[in-house]
Amino acid sequence: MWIYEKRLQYPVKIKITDPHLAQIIIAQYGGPNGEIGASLRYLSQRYSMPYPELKAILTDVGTEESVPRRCTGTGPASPKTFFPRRKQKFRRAAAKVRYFDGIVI
Amino acid sequence: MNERETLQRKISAAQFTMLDLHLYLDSHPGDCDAAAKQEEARKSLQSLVSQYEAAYGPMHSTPRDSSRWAWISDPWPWDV
Repeated sequence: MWIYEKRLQYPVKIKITDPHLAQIIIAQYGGPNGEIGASLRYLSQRYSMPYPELKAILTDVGTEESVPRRCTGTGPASPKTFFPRRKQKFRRAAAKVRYFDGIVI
Repeated sequence: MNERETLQRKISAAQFTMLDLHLYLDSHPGDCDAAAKQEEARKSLQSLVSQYEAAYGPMHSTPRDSSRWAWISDPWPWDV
């Protein structure tokens, strides 16, 4: 379960668009060594962690690394910024569903 | 920066303070100073969020101070 807050964690102002940079940022997010993977690793490691402080840290850091608090999805790499308007709707829907609504903590 | 953005920024600052102290307290549960600071941040966050929600609609899906029906209204964070 995650709780959504209708705000950005950090203000984002996009001045220039750069598809290549967007690709790099999105890979940091959902790529093979991205935050989503890290988040899920922390959240599974906590089940075998014997120390209570560290169970808490793995839970909290795993939560932090996961989606809701990060700006990436709505920020510089957001589909809205980098893809033409016509494709935007579909891409946005795909990205949001996959990265945002599918995460269960 | 308009009034709404200023308020959002204050909320972000208070939330960040709270989260960071929360992480710190995981490994330093005996630190009373940090706990007091976190409580302070929590209170200021609470009042800022109430202020924001009263003026601009709900920030959470279970808002205390504003209309549930305004939840579906634009703008969403990625629209701004």
